[in-house]
Amino acid sequence: MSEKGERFRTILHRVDKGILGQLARSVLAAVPEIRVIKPPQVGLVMIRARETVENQPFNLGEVLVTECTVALGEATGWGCCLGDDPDRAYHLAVLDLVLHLGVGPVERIEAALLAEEERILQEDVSEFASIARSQVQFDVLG
Amino acid sequence: MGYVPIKGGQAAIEAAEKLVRYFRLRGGSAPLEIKQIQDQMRLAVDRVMGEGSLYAPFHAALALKQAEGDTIEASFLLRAYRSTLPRIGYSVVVDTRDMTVIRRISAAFKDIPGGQILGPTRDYSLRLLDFQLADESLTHIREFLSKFAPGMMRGEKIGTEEVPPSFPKVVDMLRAEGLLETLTAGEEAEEIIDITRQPITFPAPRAARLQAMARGETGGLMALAYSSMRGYGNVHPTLGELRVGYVPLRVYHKTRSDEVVTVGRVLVTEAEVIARMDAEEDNIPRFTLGYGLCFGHNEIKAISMAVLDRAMRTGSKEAPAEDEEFILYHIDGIEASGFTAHWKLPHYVTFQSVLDRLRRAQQVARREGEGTQ
Amino acid sequence: MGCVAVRGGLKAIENAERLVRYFRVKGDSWSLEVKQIREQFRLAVDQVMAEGSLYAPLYAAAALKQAEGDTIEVSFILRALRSSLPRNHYAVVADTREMEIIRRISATFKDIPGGQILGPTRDYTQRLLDFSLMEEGSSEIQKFKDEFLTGLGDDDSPDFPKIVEMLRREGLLEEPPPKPDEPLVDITREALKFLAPRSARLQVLARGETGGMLAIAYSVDFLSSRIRNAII
Repeated sequence: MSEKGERFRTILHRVDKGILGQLARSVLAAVPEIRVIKPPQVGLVMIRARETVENQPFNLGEVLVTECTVALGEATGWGCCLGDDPDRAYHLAVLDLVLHLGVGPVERIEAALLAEEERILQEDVSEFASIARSQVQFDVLG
Repeated sequence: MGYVPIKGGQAAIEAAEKLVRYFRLRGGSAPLEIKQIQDQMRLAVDRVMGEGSLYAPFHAALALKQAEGDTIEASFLLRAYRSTLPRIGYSVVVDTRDMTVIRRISAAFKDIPGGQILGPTRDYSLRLLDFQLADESLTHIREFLSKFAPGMMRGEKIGTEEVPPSFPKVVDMLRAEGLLETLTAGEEAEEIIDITRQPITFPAPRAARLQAMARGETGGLMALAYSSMRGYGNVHPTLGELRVGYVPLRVYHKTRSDEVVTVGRVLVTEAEVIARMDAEEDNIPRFTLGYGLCFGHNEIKAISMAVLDRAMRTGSKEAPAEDEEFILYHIDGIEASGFTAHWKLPHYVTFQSVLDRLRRAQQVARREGEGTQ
Repeated sequence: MGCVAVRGGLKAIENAERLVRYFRVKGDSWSLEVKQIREQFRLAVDQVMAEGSLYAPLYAAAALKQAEGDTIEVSFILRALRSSLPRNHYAVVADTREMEIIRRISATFKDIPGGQILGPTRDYTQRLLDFSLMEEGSSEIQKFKDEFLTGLGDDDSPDFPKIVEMLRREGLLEEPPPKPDEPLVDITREALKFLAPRSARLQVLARGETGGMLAIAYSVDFLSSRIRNAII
């Protein structure tokens, strides 16, 4: 799970909102015992970066996020996303929980996430292709 | 600095607030949508996020609408909003080598691995007012989008299938060649100072200095960096590398702390300036560096920050740009505007006593003048 | 200065310009109207007119759209535009005693002839994000304006004598030099020389960049208030 889990944890933040909602709803239908223990709440994450002069980390500034915690029995799921977006945070928490526990329609979720991973990759390829059109060769005029 | 709070004027204050709204709306144009501002006032939004020290594009756009485009006021609104929110934690330290680049240039080297990528820039365009923009409609925009990026609009491929590469850093190349000042042997501060939680003391730790500049006001940073470039503490900077792009915001999972969760992507601008040579203890001269990093797409800010970072590292205080106390105290737009605005609040009592003193001093001077005649 | 020209990179430059446009419009939101910016981004428009040193609200608004709200870039565009236009006239010297006031306060005297007029100000308002602006509808705006404009008196605007003149009459202010007529310098036409004549200095400051002036003025403010505290 852990390698795959790592992979999903890096895809989830870009999964399409509609697809994420569908997946979460299918989970909640299959595992109705999932309960919210900390409802979606807006908060701050201080983002740290490493500078390149002395290689020191520093606090760049805060990012507005929404977080949510859900539980099934003793296990918890946590969702955190950019901006003020309670639905997304809740849905992420639900998916985090079932992917961790391996319960519910996990196979369907994994298949959907892999499809999303491919879509996101294509999006990045397209975006970069448009950026790469502006690659330039500077010539020194003599 | 006795100024008295306003009492009694409640009705006038309410009327003033209504006037603010009336001035914004009296023309009758369609009310600005937050999304319009967030999309099409992209650079103002980025600036406000940086100066407000809160990465929240929608809220920054909302603040800009509320402040009628006044970036300082909008940053103030964001900082005030930020102070009402709980802090969840700190991110995993970002390494800008992982950036998904949308722009990346070097003024120091012509050929850099990965190439020079202009990205969305006006740097080579004539600054002519484009009157066509007055008539630009959503139809025009969609027409442009369908031609510019047919693939992107329909989720198709564009032709090249290159996965966005990560670009090696110019400073890493220089460092590998031994041309750069050596790193201070990995002496990482145990605790990374956070100036929103503890006041800056001088000499400021490097982390405090960079944080203060990252949330500094663009115009103030620019003016002071420009003073250095013009010769008041000149460090002869060359832009080693400027890059703009997305870095991942990653945090440790709240309950399974060995797992890292990617929360989203944050747009940042990074500048590294290569500056004049210094000989180190071994008497071998090497280049020195200055570093700038800020939220959003804001090249003037990142470059100014890098120049000031290097100027402050000089250690002398001969020019304003070299004096870290002077720089760090004066670049914060919210503190500076707050202090400047306080002059507008009633100072009647203090001024009355100053006035009385002046009148007495005038009387004394006149009497003495008569006495000597 | 060993600058470099971009040769063979025309295609890249064209694409960079198209990327600028793409980044501005890719969100697919309703195209900003210049009138919206002019009216509802009033303070941004005012700032760039001052820094661009060109009083032209519509052009300033259009330039704000073009530069995606980057005030420094906008001022650059306005200055470039201004340099392409002929200057045909000089205005009669403005006298701010004739100003039609929308706001006028004094922090030194509580009671001033003409009174303290707060006008459109946020100075006494808590800085809270106003989430109701997310869905500000036209009908709601119309209702606000109708209410706002009812019951207005039709008083003539009173005279607003200048506070400094009151102080000056009492002999409490430094006197202007007897012969103020040093040549009126125009820094857009002749290079700045030091010591700068007063007219040059004021012109430079009037077209100065707001943030830069704020930072440097703040350094003065802070120091001077410390000095005064020491004296008192």
